[in-house]
Amino acid sequence: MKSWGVLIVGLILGLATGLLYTWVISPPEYYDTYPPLLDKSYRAEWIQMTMWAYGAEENWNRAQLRLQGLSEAEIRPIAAAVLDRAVATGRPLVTLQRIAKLAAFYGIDTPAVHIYTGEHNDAPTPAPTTTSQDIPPTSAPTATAIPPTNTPIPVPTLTTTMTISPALSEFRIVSQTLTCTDSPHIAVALALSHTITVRRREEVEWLPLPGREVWLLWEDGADRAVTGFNTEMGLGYADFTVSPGRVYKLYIDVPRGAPVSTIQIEPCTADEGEGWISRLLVLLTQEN
Amino acid sequence: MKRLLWFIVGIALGIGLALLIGWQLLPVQRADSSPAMLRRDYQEEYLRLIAAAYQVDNDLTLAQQRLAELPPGSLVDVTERWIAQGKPDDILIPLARFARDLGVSTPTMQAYLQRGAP
Repeated sequence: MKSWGVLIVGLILGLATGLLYTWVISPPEYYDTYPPLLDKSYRAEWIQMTMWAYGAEENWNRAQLRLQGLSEAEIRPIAAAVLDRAVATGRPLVTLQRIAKLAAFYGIDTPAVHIYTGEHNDAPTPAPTTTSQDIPPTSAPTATAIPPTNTPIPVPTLTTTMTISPALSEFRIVSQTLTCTDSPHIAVALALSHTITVRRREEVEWLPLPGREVWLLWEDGADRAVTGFNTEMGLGYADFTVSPGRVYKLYIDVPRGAPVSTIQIEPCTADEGEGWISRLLVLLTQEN
Repeated sequence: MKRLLWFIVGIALGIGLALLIGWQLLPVQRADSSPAMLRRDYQEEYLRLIAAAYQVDNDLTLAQQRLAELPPGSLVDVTERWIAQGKPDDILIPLARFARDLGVSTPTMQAYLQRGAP
């Protein structure tokens, strides 16, 4: 081999060894970095905090600057999760609207985004006197199972606290069970009325409806549950823990238009003492 | 002997070229920094985000964990410096509240706690 050939071989070997060292064994350590170079977990924190901070500050330009250089694919799921968490923990409506606005900008297309970006103009709006500091996080309703031991009792005030709007809703209330409990809740069981023909006779059966969204909206917040997660209670079942004295509007699928029902949580008296009215509503929809 | 010399020269040139490429021209950019490695203004932004997020999510434990990623004393140092610089209340009040909830509030911050009171 000639001298220049030996030189080339040495050059290649040296280059390979050097690149192995500088790129793999001892890559440069960075200081004074910027958010896109954060570790993945810290980037997620950064995005989450930006979403929450926008909910508090509503500083659009600052939020954009904070998220600059981060991929939309990375922002999207985190933004959606923050909005879901904000909804689930009963954040004030104004906070939800801001977070939803930012989430929508990054292409999030969930029911919560639709609701809180004001896409549905007929969605209920809060009273203007409420501030973000009024709502402790623990007051938000969360989906929990209803203890099955409650004893149904008649409550005469029911008709004054409920309005049913079948004209604007596919669902209608076909039965309700009221109980007097220490911790009030609202539960629904969704069913589809299905007509079948057996030996030339038409029979109607009710099929439970899993996977349907049930919304509760109140003056300055909202909560959502999906039917079917509590299989012991039935595939069409979902429930919410609610706060005494508060007025709730119940929606199925999307919280727009007239609510299926408006429910006020009122006090009651049972054999065991005083409590609050909880209710289980059976809602039926017709097969198209 | 001459070939060996050329071979060593080649290796030396190759390594030198690789160091130039690997550390200067095309350094590998690994996204594995911690918040403490951020540039100072981004660290301050990180701190501001912690306080702003805490204002909304009220999760003090999480906020403490986030703060622990920054150099010790950052909260008090930055807040007091920003107070001295006359930063707006909407930046300082969340920081002062966060410092109060962590028990590291200073007399300088008290005025912002009162301003932020409902």
